[in-house]
Amino acid sequence: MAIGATGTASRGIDFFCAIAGPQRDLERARHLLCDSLDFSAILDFASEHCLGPQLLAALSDLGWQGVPAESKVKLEAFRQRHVFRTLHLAEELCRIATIFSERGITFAAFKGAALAVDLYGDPARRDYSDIDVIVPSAQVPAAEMALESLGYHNDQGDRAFRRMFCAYQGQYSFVHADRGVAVDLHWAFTAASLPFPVRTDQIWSSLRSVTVGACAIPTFSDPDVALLLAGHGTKEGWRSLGWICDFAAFAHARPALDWPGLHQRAGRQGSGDAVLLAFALSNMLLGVAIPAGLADKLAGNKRVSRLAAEIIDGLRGAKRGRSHMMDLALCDRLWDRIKAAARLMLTPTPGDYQALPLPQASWPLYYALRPLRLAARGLALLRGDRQPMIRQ
Amino acid sequence: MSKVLEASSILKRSEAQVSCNLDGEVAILHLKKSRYFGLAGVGAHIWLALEQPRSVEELCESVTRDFDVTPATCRADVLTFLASLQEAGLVEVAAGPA
Repeated sequence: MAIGATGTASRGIDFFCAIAGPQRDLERARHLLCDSLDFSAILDFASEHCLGPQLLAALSDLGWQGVPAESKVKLEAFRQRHVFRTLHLAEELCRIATIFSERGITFAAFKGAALAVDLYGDPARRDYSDIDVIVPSAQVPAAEMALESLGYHNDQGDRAFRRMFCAYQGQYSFVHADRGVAVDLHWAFTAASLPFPVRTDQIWSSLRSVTVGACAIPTFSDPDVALLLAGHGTKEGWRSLGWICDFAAFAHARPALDWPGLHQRAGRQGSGDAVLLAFALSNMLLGVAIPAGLADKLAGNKRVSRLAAEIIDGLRGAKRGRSHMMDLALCDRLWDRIKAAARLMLTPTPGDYQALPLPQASWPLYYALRPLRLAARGLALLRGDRQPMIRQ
Repeated sequence: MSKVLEASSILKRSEAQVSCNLDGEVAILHLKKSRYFGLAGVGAHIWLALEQPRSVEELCESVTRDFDVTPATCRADVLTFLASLQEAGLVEVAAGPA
């Protein structure tokens, strides 16, 4: 749910910037709370931006001053749901880690509980709703079978359908209906047509582990986490303040990382601006210092400044929603964006199958049919139909 | 069968649990029994102190430092509480008295 009027949203984000960054300003938060802040809008904002745990911690530190009784009841209900879900997801992550290890499947967990423990020291200090694991592409079939043996299923279709229409995304989604848990099984961080700050083949040699419950869960090295957070936020248009808080917390706690070196590494993948954008947002919203060696690059990058301004406008409620083409922000170069868009236009998706279901033997025809379908959509758009041109 | 706890007993969190702490309250899930537990106040304080193995004596010192309670009362209450955690399978004795 979007937060009320733009002015309210703007003060709402100011409040969350004061409480959820690595350098909290509780006096400012107290002042904003006393300034007739709409509390129901605050709760909506926390939910939309996955900042419930940070809100609870801050209000507790502020002695629940000025919090209406009704809001306090809602927050207590959230706290109970959140810790229950957190423990449930941690338990599932341990089950998955155990079976992957038993079957010799190389894997790493990222985002979710692994990131919460890594960044904040406790699985409940972040709000997340699923489990993300990545495996080498050669081990995807084994990982699919392992998840299915635990009771997970994929409702995107059978394996042949997934390989044809879903694999371009670099991930499949599995759900355990009885346990109410969703698992994203990745072998890439983004669609094959797009660059990303870290390459998947670079992560395996430097894995480390975090402890979740009794399990040692493999996760990425610090440099790879940095690039992952920057890339993931950029891919998703940084539409959640929670993602900016995660990057800010990470960067603030690791000033000794070779940030210019990481920026160069991401730049070699064609996605260096993602690192600059992450720092621009963390600096402008949460006061995180720009590392020496990146400040000049940031100051001279008009594209990143424009993207940062647009994203902050969006967070302040001036613009809402996610463009289907937001992923293209990962590309530093215009030529890469054109190539990525072109490849996306030629890559069959489940939408193509739904529009015209063909027998499996005829599926190669979708490579020719998709451009025609998109062209028809484009014509419809020109005629005034506001449907997006590209739908995944 | 649970070992009898003494002041010198060193306790650690069981490996069959996962816990989290939010807003001063601890939630614990026993992974084998699929049972949830909640701790607040002194109970949460003791659980958080058990992030590393600690003796009963060390735990009592930590509690008397942070809460208004006499050492004798504290020791009796902490022993009772730890025994209940042990019974629930949430903590185990890492090392006992010689």
